[in-house]
Amino acid sequence: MTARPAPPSVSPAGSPSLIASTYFPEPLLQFADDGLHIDPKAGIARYGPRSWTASGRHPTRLRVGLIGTAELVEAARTWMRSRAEGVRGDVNNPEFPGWMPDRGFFSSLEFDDAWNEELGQTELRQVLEIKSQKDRFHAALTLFETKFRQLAERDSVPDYVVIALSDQIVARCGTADYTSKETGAVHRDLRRALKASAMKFRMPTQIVRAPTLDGRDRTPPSRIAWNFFTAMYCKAGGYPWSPYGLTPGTCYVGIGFYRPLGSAAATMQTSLVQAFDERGEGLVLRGHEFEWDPNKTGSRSPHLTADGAHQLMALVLERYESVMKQTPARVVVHKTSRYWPDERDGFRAVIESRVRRYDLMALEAQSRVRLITTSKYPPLRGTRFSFGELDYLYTTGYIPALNEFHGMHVPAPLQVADHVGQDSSRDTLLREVLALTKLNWNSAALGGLLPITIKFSGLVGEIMREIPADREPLPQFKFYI
Amino acid sequence: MAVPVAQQRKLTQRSGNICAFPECGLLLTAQGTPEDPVVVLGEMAHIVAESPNGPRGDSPLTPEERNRYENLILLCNQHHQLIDSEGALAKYTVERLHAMKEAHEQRIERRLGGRSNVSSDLPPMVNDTVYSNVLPVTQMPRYIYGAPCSARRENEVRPAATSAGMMTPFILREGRLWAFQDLRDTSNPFADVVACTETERFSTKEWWTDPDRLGWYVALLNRSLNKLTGRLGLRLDHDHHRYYFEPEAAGVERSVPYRPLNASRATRSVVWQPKKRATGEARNYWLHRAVSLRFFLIGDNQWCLSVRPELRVTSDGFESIQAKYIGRQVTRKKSRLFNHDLLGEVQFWRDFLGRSTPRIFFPFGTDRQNLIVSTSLSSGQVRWPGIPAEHDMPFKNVEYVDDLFTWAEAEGLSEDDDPADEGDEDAEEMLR
Repeated sequence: MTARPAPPSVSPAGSPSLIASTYFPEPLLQFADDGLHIDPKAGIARYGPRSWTASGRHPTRLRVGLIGTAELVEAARTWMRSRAEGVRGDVNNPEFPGWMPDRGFFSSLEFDDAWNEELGQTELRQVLEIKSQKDRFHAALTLFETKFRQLAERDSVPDYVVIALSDQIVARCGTADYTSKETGAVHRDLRRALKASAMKFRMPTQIVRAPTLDGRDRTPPSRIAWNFFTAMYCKAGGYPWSPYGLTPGTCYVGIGFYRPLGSAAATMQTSLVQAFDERGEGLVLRGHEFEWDPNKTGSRSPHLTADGAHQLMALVLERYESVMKQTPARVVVHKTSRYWPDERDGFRAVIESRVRRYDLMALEAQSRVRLITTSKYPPLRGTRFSFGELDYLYTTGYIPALNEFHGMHVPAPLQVADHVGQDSSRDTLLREVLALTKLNWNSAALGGLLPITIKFSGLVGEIMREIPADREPLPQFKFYI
Repeated sequence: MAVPVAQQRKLTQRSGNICAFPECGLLLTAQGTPEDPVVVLGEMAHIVAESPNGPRGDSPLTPEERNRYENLILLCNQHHQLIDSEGALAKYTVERLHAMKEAHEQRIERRLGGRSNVSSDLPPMVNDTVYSNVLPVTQMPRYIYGAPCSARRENEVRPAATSAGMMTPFILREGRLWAFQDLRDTSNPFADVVACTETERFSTKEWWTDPDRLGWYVALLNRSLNKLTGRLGLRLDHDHHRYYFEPEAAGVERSVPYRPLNASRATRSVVWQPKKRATGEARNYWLHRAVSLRFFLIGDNQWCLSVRPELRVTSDGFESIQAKYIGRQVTRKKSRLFNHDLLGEVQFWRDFLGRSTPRIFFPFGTDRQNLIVSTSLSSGQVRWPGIPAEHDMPFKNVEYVDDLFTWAEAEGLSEDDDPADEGDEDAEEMLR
């Protein structure tokens, strides 16, 4: 059993629990021509996406494949063509500058019937008519997989595939809940299953639902376009923006866990890690499987053994070195639960033998402790405060630069639940956390609640659980979002 | 409306008399005649057009803002025509023109090596007071007593009522009963079921440093919360670990008096059946004010109690409705708790739990053994760019003062009954 950690240190002579607060300004992002801005939308609209001028990764044209019924394939193509021209904004939603050679993302879209796969009426009906939810789900997945394979076997293949889903498919095959003798209750989700399936053919995909194409979706059109094309740029291999001011030579690591699909024991877990360099580029790596019994260990969140932690960190450093051609000068690990002594020792043993500086941090999204202002609006994003020895950071909240607050209810700060190693000041580490909340290339939002190290471990885990243990998952992010 | 002279000067000075269009570089003055030696070639182009019908004119900017430096870019005639031409409007968007102008002005400054007189471009900072939903614990019991217990299940233990008002929370762990009362005393509330002579006494601080014992300790504190809230008439929702109000009779709404933020006395609905705004017709669910309470250690021997206001939804005032059957509207109501509502809710709960006194009091029998939570909101200072004053909400931080009864309650605690307590300054400190 993995040993549990000691609670926060207790020393005599308590001081009263005054709140001490500081504020970190909104981190900047870097765009084309080294243009800087805090907001992804404003930055792209002003300067263009980061990799347009910064590397050879910019896609000057994108071959788009389409999968769906004949009607939806046509609707998706028309929708994309028109949105690529640019979409007007309104007071609250900035205009989308387009996906054209001379503006916006400075790239062009190419369509060709040879890159499309239509779903025929008969084959679709055969799937939809199946009575059993489980069988219907599997039949739908098989149908799409056939289409992926057919596309992949063509002489000329698209760079990116849009899957247009009709209301019927979403309603009848969107999810499946069933129980099997071996594995107990199983929940499946078509989106995740499609991503895992398309990954076999190395196809980055985007799912679009009919309401988006026919205008029933009431989300402001410019916002839909921003999110759609930003994610598309990333899936096309470019990077829309990169962080600014992160410590060079740092390997940021996020650790997560998931329960593999079809695992016999409900207690089986697999670890996964993601390493990011200071440009925000990431790698997805799968760790080993292990047993975790919440009843025996007294903790619902899984913890690694010393060996497991050792293996995982060795995997990260090897991959980082092979990709970056150098050893990182510094390692920062993010996780949502505390570091139990065995985990800590396992990580340390590898890191200390190869890297000079490291910090292991546990960040917990909690809603127990909040600050309250005497304003209509909640505290500012970027507010850091402490209660005694506990440290908190608001990554959601009022944003003075935009004079707005995203979200409906009162935001809650992240808590630093644990911190091992003191090679960087808490201020530096929390500034980095704030900067890493801005690297979600799957959306054009200014920032999210969690740093991508942790945020993506959840997203990736959902898809990776669909990939069998004997198939190597691809390391590139674009296949998971 | 013309561009004010001050705005014109700003624009021409910062543009360095050169067209801001990338790679153009045209000097915007030329040699004229002896009578008029300098001819101006530059044009002040509007980024957002002066008129709403002009190029890029669809904007919330006011007419005055449209003629300010921020909305102007200095160009040569040729490039001014280009950016305003119908066919190029999609290309020369507001954001791109801003970027063009910024890049140009920076280029001019860099080329000329001007000395900056700007210290920083950070927004101006202000000092604000912020509050929290956390109440400080001012006194924790100093000892925990454990003794072998004949009862195997907690519902077999019936603590005797020893003195009026005393709370008797306990837990059973590893064959022992653990409580805050001194189990060595043969008149203790658990004397029927424990072996008093085999009592062990631990300092609570000792337990806080051991992860397993810390868990037991928190369990004991949670039992204490159950007692406190039970006395105040709240029910425990086991599934969500929260306490809530129940109607006093079926189908009857309920409200309780309290001291709100900005008035001396008011009542607050605590159980109610919402009505449809248009028709006044009752909806098919009931709402109950609820609260989640948790003690936690913040280091340095300091404990806090967090107060998280919640809502419970029932079908008839009693029967809980599962989350998946709750309509979107209710979920939205629950999630639509804005900052100022939260402040009001926290104010309600601290007032209710502390009965409008300076403290929430958990009497465990002897003075230093009691648990006391201050009802003062934890607050602090923050220096940040702030939230515009137009969003300020009225707030008066109610500070409770002792009246004769609460003072006596607190005062009666200070008799020292245990010689071993001497020299422990923490408790003195906490009682102040």
